[in-house]
Amino acid sequence: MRKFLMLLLAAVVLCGLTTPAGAELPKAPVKIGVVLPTSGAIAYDGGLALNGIRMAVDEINGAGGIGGNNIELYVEDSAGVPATAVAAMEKLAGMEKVVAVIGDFGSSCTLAMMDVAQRARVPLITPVSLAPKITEMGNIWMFRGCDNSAMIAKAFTKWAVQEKKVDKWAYIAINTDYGRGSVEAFNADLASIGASVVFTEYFNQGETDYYPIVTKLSASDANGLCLFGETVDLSRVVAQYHEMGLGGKMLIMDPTSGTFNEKFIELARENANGIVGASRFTAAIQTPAAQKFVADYRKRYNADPEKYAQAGYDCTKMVALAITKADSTDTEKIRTALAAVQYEGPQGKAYFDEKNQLIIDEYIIAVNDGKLEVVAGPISAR
Amino acid sequence: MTTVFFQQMLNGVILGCIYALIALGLSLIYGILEMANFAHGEFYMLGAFMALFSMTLLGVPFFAAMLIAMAGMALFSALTERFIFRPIVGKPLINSMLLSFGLSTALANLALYFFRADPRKITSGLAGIRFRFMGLFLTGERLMILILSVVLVLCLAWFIQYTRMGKAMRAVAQDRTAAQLAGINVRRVYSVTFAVSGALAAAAGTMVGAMFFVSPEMGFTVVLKSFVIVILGGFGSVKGVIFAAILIGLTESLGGGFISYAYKDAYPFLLLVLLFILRPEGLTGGNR
Repeated sequence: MRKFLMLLLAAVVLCGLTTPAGAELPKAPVKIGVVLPTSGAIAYDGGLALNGIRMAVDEINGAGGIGGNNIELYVEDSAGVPATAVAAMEKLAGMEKVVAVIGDFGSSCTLAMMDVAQRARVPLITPVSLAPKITEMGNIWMFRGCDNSAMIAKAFTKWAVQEKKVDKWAYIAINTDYGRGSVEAFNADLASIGASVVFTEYFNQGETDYYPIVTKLSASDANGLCLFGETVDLSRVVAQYHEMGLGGKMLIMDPTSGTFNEKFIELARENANGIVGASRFTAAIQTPAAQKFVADYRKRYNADPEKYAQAGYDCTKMVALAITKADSTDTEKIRTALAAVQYEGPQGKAYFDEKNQLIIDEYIIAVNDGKLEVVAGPISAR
Repeated sequence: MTTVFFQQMLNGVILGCIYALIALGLSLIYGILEMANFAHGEFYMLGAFMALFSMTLLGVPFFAAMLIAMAGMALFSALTERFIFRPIVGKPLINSMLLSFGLSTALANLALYFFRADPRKITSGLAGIRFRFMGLFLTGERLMILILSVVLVLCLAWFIQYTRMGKAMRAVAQDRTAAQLAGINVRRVYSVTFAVSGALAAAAGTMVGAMFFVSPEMGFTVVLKSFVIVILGGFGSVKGVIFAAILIGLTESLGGGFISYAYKDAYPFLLLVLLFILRPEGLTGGNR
């Protein structure tokens, strides 16, 4: 039995060696997989990232595709559930034989998918997940096509403490790797700039009744409320915060920008005004590249793009660029090319560091009279 | 700190009132048809959508929308009884559990397909009004929900206690065969039970849709919690269910506020485990 296995192993190795390496891109559609929540509590947010991805694919295919080949998207729904995300990744890598996967949304899902990416040797790039540990684990097949909560913390905490004098922080955060990872990253920065944390509560995704938390919050002496979560959940938090009569008592901060999109403003209405946060992208950025992207997106979806759509778009463009550079559908070559990619998107220049973490600038943004505006930035992440 | 405590109590009571409306419907169906209806959460969800669409498409005011939703869901619920549940009346409980679970999944997915996942809000127009007494906050919307649910529960109690149909329902709950021999139209009782249950669910859905949101997934967690309430209150007992619903509301609110909010949904189930150990016959002893 052992002999047989050794023989099999040798055969596999030999096959690997004799496959013509560096073959030019075969004339066939380039398969790219996508894993995002298109149902469940964060379906709205997942749909935004998918909007960006679809727009990028149509642009690339419209301009002749990759070396004459069209991109074919294989979209799987993770529903925001890690087990489903893993099954989707297995299906894309094992059955559909995609050359790269874009996903997932929540950090818990992405963390669960990373091992499959490594085992199947398929590059996985997340457009959304913020938990710092994703790119700290040394998995070379994992890329983060956006900023992370440590980078956001660095840019945002300094501004909030110095400019807005927020020295007593309260957190209401989602009970996931993203929420807990972000609180951890922010706490690490706050201690060094003389601010303290007076309140921390976590909620579960899709929660509706936040009265227990906001009631408890009303008795704390915090002067800043820091939120980590997605559109729908946070719109409930903010609505109930105001129902409890806490409006004006503290500065509402959403550093990871779960609230800076049109749906949130539609749901929260005037309660959205005054919320500040950090974001790598907002439709209010006035550079020509950003404004062209905003105009194209508006034409297609009749709404302003926000950072999830931008990241979906950027990740797709970066993967396409890497496949073009690699001139091959060999996933090892695509991975190497992606790590070395020099990209310029709607937001500006971006590249991956040695841990496959994208280096990209941050902006401080705010909601004013139902409109998003840039308050400060760009702040360099380096 | 005492203000915070009483505020949490108030929040818990309002939550409990909504739970009571949902759980009463489940309890009625169990008491009279001896069925576990897992699709009850979807009746609640569909009721909320019906109210939402009445307001956005027909432009009717909040209260009219709630009445439309209640009437619509009463009819829908009675029809499901006639065409889906009736063939399994009198069969072991597992039949209705599996059947209703299937119906629940089908309805939730159909709703997801037709109504889409993005959550919408029912605007009652009362959320902006805020009352403050002795340091406690209450919005006009929550006050309305409190009053409406108490009124609805009283109506139900009156209906069961004093009307002919209510008496027939109680008779069927006690002994189906004897009721049939006494000339009660058992089939009509079944239809009415489902209709009442559907209407209560629709009322709860509309109010939750105003307080929080309307979405295709809203039924799922609610139905599990309602079963906890029905078990806690003793199957089929109206008083017990109301008491248990308020108790669960308070447990969530106080547990979430004073222990940890992240485990809020676990407290009702812990309470249930405790009850099984201490009072296996239910809080009120399982009398009907």
